[in-house]
Amino acid sequence: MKAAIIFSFIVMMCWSCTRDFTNLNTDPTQFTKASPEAGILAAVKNLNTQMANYNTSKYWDLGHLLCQQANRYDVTDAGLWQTMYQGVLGNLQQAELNYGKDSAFNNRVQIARILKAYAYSILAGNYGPVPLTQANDPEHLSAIKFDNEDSVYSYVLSTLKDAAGKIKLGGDKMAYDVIYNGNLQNWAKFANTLRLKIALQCMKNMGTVATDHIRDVMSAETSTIASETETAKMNFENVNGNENPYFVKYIKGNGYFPYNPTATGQAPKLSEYMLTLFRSYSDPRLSVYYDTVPLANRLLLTDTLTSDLDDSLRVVSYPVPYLGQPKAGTKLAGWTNLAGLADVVGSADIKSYSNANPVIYQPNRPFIMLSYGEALFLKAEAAKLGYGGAMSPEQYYYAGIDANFAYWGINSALRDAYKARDGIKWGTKGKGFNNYLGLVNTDIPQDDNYKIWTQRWLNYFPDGGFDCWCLERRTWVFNLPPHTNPGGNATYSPNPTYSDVPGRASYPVSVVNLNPAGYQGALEALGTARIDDYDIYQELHFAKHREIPDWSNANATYDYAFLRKWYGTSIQSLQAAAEANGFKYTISQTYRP
Amino acid sequence: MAGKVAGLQVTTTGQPGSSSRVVIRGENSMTQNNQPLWVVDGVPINNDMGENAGDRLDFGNGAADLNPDDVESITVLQGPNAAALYGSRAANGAILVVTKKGKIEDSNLGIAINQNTLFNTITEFPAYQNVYGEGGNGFLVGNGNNIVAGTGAVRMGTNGSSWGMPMLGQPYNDFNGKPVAGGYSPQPGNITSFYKTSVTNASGISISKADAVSAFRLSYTFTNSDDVLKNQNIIKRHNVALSASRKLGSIFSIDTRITYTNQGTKNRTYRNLDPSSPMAAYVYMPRSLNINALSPWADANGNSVTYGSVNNTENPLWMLYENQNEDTRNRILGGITATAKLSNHLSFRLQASTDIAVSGFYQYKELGGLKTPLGYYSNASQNNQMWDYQGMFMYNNKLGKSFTLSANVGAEYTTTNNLNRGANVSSLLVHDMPSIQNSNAFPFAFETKVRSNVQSIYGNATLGFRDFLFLDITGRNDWSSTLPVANSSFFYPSLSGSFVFSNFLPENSVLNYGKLRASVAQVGNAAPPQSLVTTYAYGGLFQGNPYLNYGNGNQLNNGALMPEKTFSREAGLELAFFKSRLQLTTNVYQSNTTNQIIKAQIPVETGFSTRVMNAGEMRNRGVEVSVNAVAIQSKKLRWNVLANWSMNRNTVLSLAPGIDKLALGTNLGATVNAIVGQPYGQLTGNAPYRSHDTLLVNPSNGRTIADPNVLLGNFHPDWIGSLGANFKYGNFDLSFLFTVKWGGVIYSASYGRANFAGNTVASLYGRDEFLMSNVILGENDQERMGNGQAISTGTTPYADAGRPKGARYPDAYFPLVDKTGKYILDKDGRMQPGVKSSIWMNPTTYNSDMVLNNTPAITYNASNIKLSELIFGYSIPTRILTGTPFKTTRLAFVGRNLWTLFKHTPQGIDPEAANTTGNAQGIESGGSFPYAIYGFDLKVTF
Repeated sequence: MKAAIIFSFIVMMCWSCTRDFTNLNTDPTQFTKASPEAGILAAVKNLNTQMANYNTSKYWDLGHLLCQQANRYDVTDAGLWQTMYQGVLGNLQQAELNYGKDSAFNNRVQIARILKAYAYSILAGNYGPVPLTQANDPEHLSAIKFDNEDSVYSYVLSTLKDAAGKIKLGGDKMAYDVIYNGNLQNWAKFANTLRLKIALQCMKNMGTVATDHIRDVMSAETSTIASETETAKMNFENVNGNENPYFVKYIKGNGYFPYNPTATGQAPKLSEYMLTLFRSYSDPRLSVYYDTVPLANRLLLTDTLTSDLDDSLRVVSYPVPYLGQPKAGTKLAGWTNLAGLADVVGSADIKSYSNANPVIYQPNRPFIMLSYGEALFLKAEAAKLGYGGAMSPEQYYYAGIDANFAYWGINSALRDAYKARDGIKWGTKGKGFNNYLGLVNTDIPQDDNYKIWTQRWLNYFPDGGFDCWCLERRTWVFNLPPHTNPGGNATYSPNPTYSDVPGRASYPVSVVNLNPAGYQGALEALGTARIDDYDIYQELHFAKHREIPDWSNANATYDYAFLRKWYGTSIQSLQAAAEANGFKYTISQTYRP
Repeated sequence: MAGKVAGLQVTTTGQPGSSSRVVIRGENSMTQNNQPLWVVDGVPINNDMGENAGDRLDFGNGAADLNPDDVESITVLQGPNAAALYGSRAANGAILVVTKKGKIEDSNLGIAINQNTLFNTITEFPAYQNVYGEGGNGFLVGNGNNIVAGTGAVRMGTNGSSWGMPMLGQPYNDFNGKPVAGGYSPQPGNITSFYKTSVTNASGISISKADAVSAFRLSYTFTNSDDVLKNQNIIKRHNVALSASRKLGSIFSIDTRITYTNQGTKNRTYRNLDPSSPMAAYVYMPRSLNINALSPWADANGNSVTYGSVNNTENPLWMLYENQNEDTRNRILGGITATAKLSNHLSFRLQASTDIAVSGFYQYKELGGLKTPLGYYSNASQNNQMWDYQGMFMYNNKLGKSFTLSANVGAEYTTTNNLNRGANVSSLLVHDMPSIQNSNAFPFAFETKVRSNVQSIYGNATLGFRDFLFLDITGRNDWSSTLPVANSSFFYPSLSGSFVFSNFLPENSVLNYGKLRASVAQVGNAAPPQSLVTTYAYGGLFQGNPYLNYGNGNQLNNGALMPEKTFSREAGLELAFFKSRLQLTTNVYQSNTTNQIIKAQIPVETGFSTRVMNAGEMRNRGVEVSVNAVAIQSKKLRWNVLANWSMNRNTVLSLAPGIDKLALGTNLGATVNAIVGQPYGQLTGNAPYRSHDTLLVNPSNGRTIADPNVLLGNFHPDWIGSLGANFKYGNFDLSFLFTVKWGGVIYSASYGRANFAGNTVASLYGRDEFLMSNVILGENDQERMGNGQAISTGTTPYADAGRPKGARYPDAYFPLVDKTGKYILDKDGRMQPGVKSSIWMNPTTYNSDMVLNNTPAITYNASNIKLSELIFGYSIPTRILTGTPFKTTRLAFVGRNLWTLFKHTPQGIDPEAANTTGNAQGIESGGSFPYAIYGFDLKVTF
C-alpha cells in the first residue's frame, strides 16, 4: 500500500512540475538581452574586421593599393555577405528593435541606424541589388526579396539624413563608443559626410535625388567632417583577438616573408601600375606607403646614362630600391612583340618587389572608415559641380592633399614641390609613363575632376580599397592593366584568358541554394543576360559604362622608362647616389662619340 | 554487433577510443541524432558522441565505457515499439544490455579471470610513387635563390609537394643545411615508418556468488592500449562493477548495481586532415623527404623547424612529441531496484538510477609550431548527470481458461543536468607548460549549462489467447521541458498482434513453428534542450568593453515547437523447419517521421544560418531476413550457419517550405544532402562539364570546366548482409563472419589531396612526357597547346604537335564559340563541343582539378566484402582439470578485419571510413588506413 502511495505521488508530480519547464529550459549562463552599446560594438568590430580582411584578399588588388601574390580581380564571396547580414545588420537591427521606441535611447538608436546605412552602402557597392526591406526579419525566412540598387541607395541617403537630424546633442550618449568616444556631434558629421560620398557616387542613377542631397550637405558644412580629429576610425588593440587584421594575417600568423624570413608565403607588394603612377609624378608617398627593398634583394636594372662631363654614354646596372609587382606573369597570345624578350619586371625575384610600410601591420593600427582628407576631396568634387561649399574646388583639392600628406608626416617642401607638378597642379595636365608592358599609361588629363579622383584614390591607402574600386567603376579614372591569370567567375567571361576590373561581386552560393526566389529577382534587377550572376563585367547602376578593351590584341611592348633613370640621367648622379646610399653599380659598356 | 543483427550498421572513425555510430533501419531524423538508445539493466544511459566536444578530437561515445567482460547479453530492438517502455529516445530502436549477476550455478570459488590481448596493424598503405621527389613543374627547385651556395644542393622542404625531378641522388640538404646521405632519392618508407603494431591489453577478474536469497558479483578490469601511430591514443581504463541482490522475506527484494569507469587518454589524434594531425603530414609529405631530416624537430630555442611549405603542414614529429592533449573521465552508472510482490499476480517495482560522468580535458599546442607559432592551450571540464526514477505495477494473470494477461503501468521522472566550463588562450609565454597560467594574453573563458526534465506515465498490456493469439497495446504520455509549456505534453500509442499459426498445422510437419506478427506504432519526440529562445553570444572585451553577438551559433530558435512524430508499420514472419534446425525470420517495415524538428539552413540574409523548425517528412521502407541453420549436429560436431540480409530504402518526402535541399555536411569538394524526392544522404560536387556525353574543357588551359552540384551517389549501401558459421568439434570451436556492404559511394578527400601533392602512383600520369617537354626540351605552354611561331596572321601549328607532352583528358573538346569568341549555347543553355582539345597539361594542374572540380574522379563505389571476424578456440577438457583449482579454461585466437576480399576504393583507402559519426556520412578525410586486429583471449574460472 505504501508503494501505491509513492506511485500516486510520482504521478501527481507529472502534472505539477511542468510550470518550471521554461526556467529549466533556459541556460542561466547565456545572455538573453543586450544593451545597444554591446550590439553596436559587435557590429562595428565585425564590420571593420571584415573590410580589413577583404582588403587583403580582394580590395587591395582591385584598387592596386597592394598586390597579394596569387590574388586576382576576383570578387566571389568570401564571407562579406554573412558578416554583413549576421554580424553587422543582425546586431544593429536588435538595437533598433529593442530600444527604438524608448526615447531614452534615441541617440544610440540613431547611431545604429547610421551604421546600418553605412553597411548597406557597402553591400550595394559590392553586389547591386541586395535584400533590405525583408532582410533580418523573422517574418521573412525564405524567398527574401532583393531590393534593387537604386532603392538601397535611396534608403541609405534618406536614413543618413534622418538619423543625423534626429541626434539630440544633449540627449543620451553611448556608454562606450570605439569610433567617436561618445561625441554625438561627430556621429552626425560622419552621417552627413557619408551622405555626400554616397550621393556623389550615385549621381548617374539617382539624378536629382543625389544632387539634392549633395546640395543639402554642402549647405551645412559645419555638420560635416572638418578636421583630422573627426576622421571616422576604429582603433584595434594589442590584445589577443582584437588586433588589426593585417597584423593577424601577416605578422601573427608567421607565414609571410619578410616578416618571417623563412616563410614561403609572400606579404603583399607594391603594384606595378602604382609604381608607374608614383614615378610619373615623383610622388613622395612612395616612400611612406611602401618599404624599400633590402639591398641584397633588389632588382639590378640595366640602364644607359649620359655624362655631365662629355657626350659619352654608359651602359650600367644598379639596384632599384622600389619595384612593383605585375598582376600576373602570363602573357596573352596576341602579345607577340614580347616573344623572345626578357621580362625584367614580371620575372623578377619575388623578394625584389617592395612590401608595404610595416607601420600598417601594427597590431593596434586603427581602421579608417572615412577620413578628413577624403571629406575634402568629396567637397572638392561637389564644389566643382557647383553644388555649394565655403571654399573653391581648388582650395578643397589642395587641402585634401595637405591633409593626406600631414597624416603621413611628409614635410611641406616635398609636398609643395609635388603640388606644383603638371598633372597634380590644378588646371594642368600630366604626362605619365607607360606601364611596363606599354598597355596603359598614367597620364592625368586636363579635366580637374581627374585630379580630384586621383588624389582621392591615393588618399585611400591602405584601408579604402573598397572605395577605390567604387571610384574606378564610377569614373574609370585609371585605365588599369588586365589580370592575365584570372580565376573565379572570369572563367565564364567571353575572353577567359584575362580579366578587366570586375563590375560587381557575385552573390554567395548560399543565396543561389537557399533563396532561389530572391536570386531570380536579383538577376532581373541586375538585368543580366545570363541565368546566373557570373558575368564579371555586369555593370551596376552607379557605374560609368566601360567597353572592355580587347587586351589580347593590344599592342604590348616592354617599356621600362618608368624605372630607368632612377637616380637621375647621368653617371655622376648615379655615382653620388651610390655613395650616399651605399650601393654598388657596374658599368658594362662605355660609348664615346 | 555489426553483421550479427539484420538492419544494423556500425560506422567508426577508426581510431582507438573514438566514437562509433550505430544506425538501425536507416535515418529517421534529418538533422538530429539517429542512433538507438542504449539501455543498461533497464535504464537508458547517456551515449552522446564524443566528437563535438572539441577541436577535431573525438572523445568516444558514452556506451564505450561499458566493460565487455561485464556484459551478460545484448538484445537489439529494431522498431520503435520499445518506445513505450523507454521513452521517445528509443524511436530509433534500442540496444538492451544486461550485465552479469551472481548466479547460483557459480559454484566453487566463483572466480573468473580473463586475459585479452589484441594487436592492431595497418594492412594496406596507399600506393605511393617513388619516382619523382619534391619540387614543382618538373624542377627540383623553382628559383636559383633556393640553391644552397657552395654545395649546389637544394634545401629539403623548399617545396611542399612531389612535383619535382626524378630522384637520382641529386645534392640535397636537410633543414639545418647539412647534406643528406644519399641525396635526393626515393624514401619508400618515409610514411610507413611512423606506424607500428599497437597492443590492446585487457586483464580482468571477477568474483560472483549466489544462494537462494542473495547474489553478488564484483569485477575489475584494467585495459591498456596504444595506437598504430607512435605516442598517440594511449588509453588506460579501469572498470569496477558491483552488483548485489537480496530477497527480504517473501515480499520484498532489493537489487543494486554500480559500475565505475576511470579512463585516461593521452594524445588523441586530430582527425579529418586537421593541419595539426600527423595524418595530414602523411598525405602531403614529399616522396624525397628523408625521415632522418625531420629530427631534430625543434631548434635551439624550442621552436619548430619547418618542413614543407605549400600546405603548411606541421612536422609530424613535432606534432607527435611537442603537442599534447589529455583527458580523463570518471563515470558512475548505478541503480537500486526494490520490488514488492503484492500478490501472486501483482507486484510493484520502484527504481532509482543515475549516470554521472565527470570529465576533464586539456589540449596543448606548443609555442613555436608552424601552425601555432604563439602556441595554444585550452582546458574544459564537464559534469553530466542523469537521474531516473521509476515506479511500475506489474500484473500477470490468467483470465478464465483461454486468456492470459500481463500488464504494466508506470511512471518515470528523468532529469539531466550538464555543466560545461572551460578556458583557452592562443598565446603562450613559455615552452613545455600546459597550463592556463602560461598565458601571454587574456584567456577566453566559457560556461554552458544544459538541463532537461521528462516526466512520463506509461502502460502496456499483452493479452494472450490459448497460446497462439497475442495482442499487445502500449501507450505513453511524456511531458518534456524542452518544448514550449503549451506543447510539452504528448501521447503515443502502439498496437501489435501475433498469431502462431503453426498450432494449427499437423504435428511432425516440416514446418514446426510459424508465427505471423504485425504492428503499428507511433513515437513522439521532444526537441533538443534550449531550442526555444534565441540568445546572444558573448564576444569578449574590445578596448575594455563587452560586445554581444545576436544569435548564438547564428541559429534562430523557435518558441512554438511541437513534438515530432514517427509512425511505423511492421509485419514479420518467424518460421522454423526440421525441428527448428532451420530458422527463418523476416520483417518488412515502413516508418514515416513527420513534423520533424530540424535545423534548417535558411538564407544568410535573414541574419541567421539555421532555424529550428517543425518541417519535413522522411520515409524508410525495408526488408530484413535472418537465417540460422544447424547443418550438422552430432555428439562431437556441431556446425551452424547464420546469415543476415537487409535493405532499407529512404525517401525525403518533404523539407521546409521553399527549401528542396538541405546540406548535412561538406568536406573539400563534396556535400552530403537531403534532397526532396530522393534518398537521404545524396553526395553532390563539382563535376567536369559535359555536353551530353562529351567532355568540354577550358580552351585556355585544357582544364575541366566545373559543373556544380552534380550527383555523385548516395552514401547508403543498397543492401548489407553477413554470412557466418560456427563449428564446434570436441573441445575446439571455430567461428567466422563475412560481412557485405553492397552499393553506396565514398568520396576520398585524402586520396584527392595526395594526388594533388603528387605522392600517389596515379599522379605519375603524363609526368615523364611533361618532364621531357618542359624541362628537357624547354617547350612552353603555347607549344604544349600546339601553337608554334606567332606571325602576323596568327600562329603557325607547332611542328611536333603529335608527341604527348603531359596530361590530357581523353576525348575532350573545347566549347563551341562564334567568331567573336563567345560561346554558342544549345537550346538548354548548355555549351556545345567545338574543336577537339589539343592542350597537354601540366600533370599538377590535371590533379589539381580532381580536388575540387572533378569530384567524381575521387568518389568510389563503397561496396566491399570483409572477413570481419574469425575466432578459433580450445577449451581444456574438464576431466583433465579435475583435481586442479581450475574449473574451466578456454584459449581463443581472435581476429577482426583480417581480410578484405573485395573493394573498389584505391589502395590504402578504407571503403567504410567515415569522418564523422553524424549524419553526413560517405566522406573519407584523413581516415585511418585499413587495419586488422588479431590476438588471443584466455578465460579461466575457479
